[in-house]
Amino acid sequence: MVAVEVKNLVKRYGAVQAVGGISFEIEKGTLKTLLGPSGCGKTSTLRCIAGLEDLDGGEILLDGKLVASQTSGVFVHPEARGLGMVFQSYAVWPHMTVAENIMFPLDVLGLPRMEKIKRVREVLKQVGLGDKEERDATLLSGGEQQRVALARALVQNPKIILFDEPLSNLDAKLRREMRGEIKSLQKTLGMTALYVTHDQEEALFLSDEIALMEHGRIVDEGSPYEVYENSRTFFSMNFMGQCNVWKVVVKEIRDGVAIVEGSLGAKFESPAPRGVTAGMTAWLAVRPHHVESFVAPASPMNRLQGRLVLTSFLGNYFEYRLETEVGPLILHSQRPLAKSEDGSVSLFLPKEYLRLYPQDAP
Amino acid sequence: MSTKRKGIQTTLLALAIGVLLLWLVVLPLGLMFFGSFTSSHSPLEAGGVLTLEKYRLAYSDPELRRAWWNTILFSTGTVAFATMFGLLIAVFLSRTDVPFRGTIETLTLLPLAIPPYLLAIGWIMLLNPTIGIMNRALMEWLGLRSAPISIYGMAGMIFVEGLYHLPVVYLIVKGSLRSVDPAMEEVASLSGAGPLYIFRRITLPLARPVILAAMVLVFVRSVGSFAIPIYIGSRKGINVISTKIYDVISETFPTNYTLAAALSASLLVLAALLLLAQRFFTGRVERYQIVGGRGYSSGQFMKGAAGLGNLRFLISGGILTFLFVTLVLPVGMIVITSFQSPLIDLFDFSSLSLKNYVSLFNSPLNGRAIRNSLLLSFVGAGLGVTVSALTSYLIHRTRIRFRAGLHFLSILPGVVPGVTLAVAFLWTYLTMKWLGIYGTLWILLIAYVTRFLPEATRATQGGIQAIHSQLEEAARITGASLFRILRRIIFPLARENLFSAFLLLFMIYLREFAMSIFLTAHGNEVISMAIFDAWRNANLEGAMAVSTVLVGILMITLAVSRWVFRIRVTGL
Repeated sequence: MVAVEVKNLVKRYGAVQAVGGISFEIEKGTLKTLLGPSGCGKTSTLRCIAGLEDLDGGEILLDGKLVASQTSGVFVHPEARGLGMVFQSYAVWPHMTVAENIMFPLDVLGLPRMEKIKRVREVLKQVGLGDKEERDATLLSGGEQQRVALARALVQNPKIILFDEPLSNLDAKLRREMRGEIKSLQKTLGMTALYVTHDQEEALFLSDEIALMEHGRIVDEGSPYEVYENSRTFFSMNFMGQCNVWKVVVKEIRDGVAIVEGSLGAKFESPAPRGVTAGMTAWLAVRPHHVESFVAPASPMNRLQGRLVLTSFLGNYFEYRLETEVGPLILHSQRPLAKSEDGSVSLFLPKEYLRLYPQDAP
Repeated sequence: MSTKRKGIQTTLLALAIGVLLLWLVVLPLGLMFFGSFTSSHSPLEAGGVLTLEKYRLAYSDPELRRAWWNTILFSTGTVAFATMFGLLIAVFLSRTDVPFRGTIETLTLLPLAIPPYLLAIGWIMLLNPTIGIMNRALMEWLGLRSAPISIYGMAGMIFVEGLYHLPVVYLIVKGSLRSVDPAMEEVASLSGAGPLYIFRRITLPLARPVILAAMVLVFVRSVGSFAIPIYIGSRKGINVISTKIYDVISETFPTNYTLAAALSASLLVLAALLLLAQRFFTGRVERYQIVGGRGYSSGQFMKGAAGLGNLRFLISGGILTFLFVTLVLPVGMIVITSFQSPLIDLFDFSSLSLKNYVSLFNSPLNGRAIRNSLLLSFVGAGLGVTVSALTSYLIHRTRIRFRAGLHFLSILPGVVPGVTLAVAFLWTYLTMKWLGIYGTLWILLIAYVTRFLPEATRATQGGIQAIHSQLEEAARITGASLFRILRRIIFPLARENLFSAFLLLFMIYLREFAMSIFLTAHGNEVISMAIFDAWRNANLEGAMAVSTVLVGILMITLAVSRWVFRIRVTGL
């Protein structure tokens, strides 16, 4: 069942088009992330769904009900959309205690006092703040404030929860911890959620689905695995993680496999996506952990000779920077690199991990 | 990015505030303007034809012509005096290393805390030709047979009015001297210029537009000034237009309200034209008017400050003596003489007693006046803060289409002289006498709230603006109504600021005089009226005692807010 449906959403600020006609859906009980660099239109999209901004085109449906439409002039105010929202600045009210903050949405519903207290305690326990009920909101740490904001968003049992970069003000360790809790809470409560972030690692960790945005458009969409491993666009390949990129010329395409040639005549076999034709210049990309340094298969294709330039140890893997005949290359490996006697390294780039993109993007 | 719409509730609130502001500000001024062109004598007379007769009279009557001339002379003199001393003090404090800067600044700002008529009364006690203590000291010392100086007259009016406007000039000039980029002076210094040369060629020219703006502001305020001219000028028959308007209202029979309206309208037009001209020539006015609304900490030692050597103690001592004699002494005189009864000889301290206070509290008028003033100021401040906080919210936190209009209406009373506004209210509520507002405390309440809307708006908007927009959005998402958001989120978050605005308005209302004198009727007197009444009836003891009570209430309010609530009330 679809909980959120966005159709051709357009949002402008004066002459600037922030969102350029995007469409997507969120399945009930799943978490979808709008991911992208700052200024890509992800927060504008979220605010339009929240009703904090009116849209300039398209429509938005929540649980199949139209809440905003440019053509039919429908605009349901945020207070009537039944949403929960966690803000980037936490927006924890500094003049209230923890309990008062969380109780506010219930005050709005006009519930009896005992029921409110019961519900507040329940939510406090869920977010792990059971002992901080009467604490002044201003005396909380950043992580605790984030939990209060989360509890406040949850307390009304909203149909959908919106997260606007909620973790970007926390330090790295806390961010890791909090994202784990958000995910387990989302799974146990079966929440439907829209999560906005610029951090691709956070998106990979949390999402059931990721929609990657650039210049107000969705440029890639799918499960974290799909978006990371089978990035549909060159931008997406770059944004989702580190990768090696070389400019190549497409020689021929046979049975969905492209034969490409880099500088100094190095030849590669790679899956050929649609839009790539023989004779065109293209980008060949591969993620550093898919480059192999041990296997030396019979095929003369997909092989490079490298010279080690720099070694870094990052805890759970080594990062090697090498100079090859096609240019610089980064390799991630959990084991030390095997070198031949003359100090050169034999490299293999497995066909199934190579990605080819037409060279219209820089 | 702020919120797009807040729906019907916001629109309704904006409409309500809009109608209220139109009622408070535009309607009275409009009715008075229109009325000033009618041939009837008062708003109570039905009919009449449209005519310029009252304006012809306003500019041709010999006495009124003299009053116009006096007004110009008085305002020009005030500007000269206030600018000279305000500029001097500002320059010494922000560009040299004179000691005791904090004390000097506090004393300079003293007139902000005391009402102008108390300064006038204090100076009369010092320089009255018969009982003035300074005069008597000079007579004794120099062996003179008559008093050498009299405060009564144009020079005295200019002197006291000038003192009263000292803080305005000081604050504005100091602000502009501070904003001058030190690099501009440092560059000149590197090219070999000395401090005085730099000041004359660089600093002063940079500050010139702002100094000019300060001068226009002081001129406009003096044109509408009422308290000091009536206390000091009228004794010798020197009238300015504002005191003439009072004469017309209180001395003519039948009262020629229409002439008063024509004179009041002329004052307003003069003030507006001056401000417009100044704005046209040197940029925006509010930027300078806003000066009093911020908490200016006392000047730190600036880069590029000129070292004055040992001369600095002499200069500091000179300024301190000047400020002490001109500002502290007169107020001190009021307090001291309030304990003397009978007030025959100011040197005779054997007559110290509490008799004046006993008779003060035995007088029904004084008791009533103090009660009325406290009640009006308390209720009025609550009302004023509510209206201006809602207005500030609408102006700064919503995108309703006519918010610029709301802003304009809320600062408009700032250019209207108090006397003009008083005549406008008289006119309006005489026209609508059936409302039952004329002659009651209500008309005073309305007048106070209206006249000081700019001060109130300035005092509340900072607190509203400082609230992060997401704090409000977080509440909207939960489904809270506008009323609930205001009550639970906005107002509580701005509470310190709103409370400080409340105290500010309380003190401003408490001392109001120029409108009160026109609008009070028997039974609803206020403190400033009780002082004036006692004064006019030559009951000096009574006047001093009530004045001291007023000073006491003002000081206690300031002290309590500062030390009990830890609030610095700014913008007086």
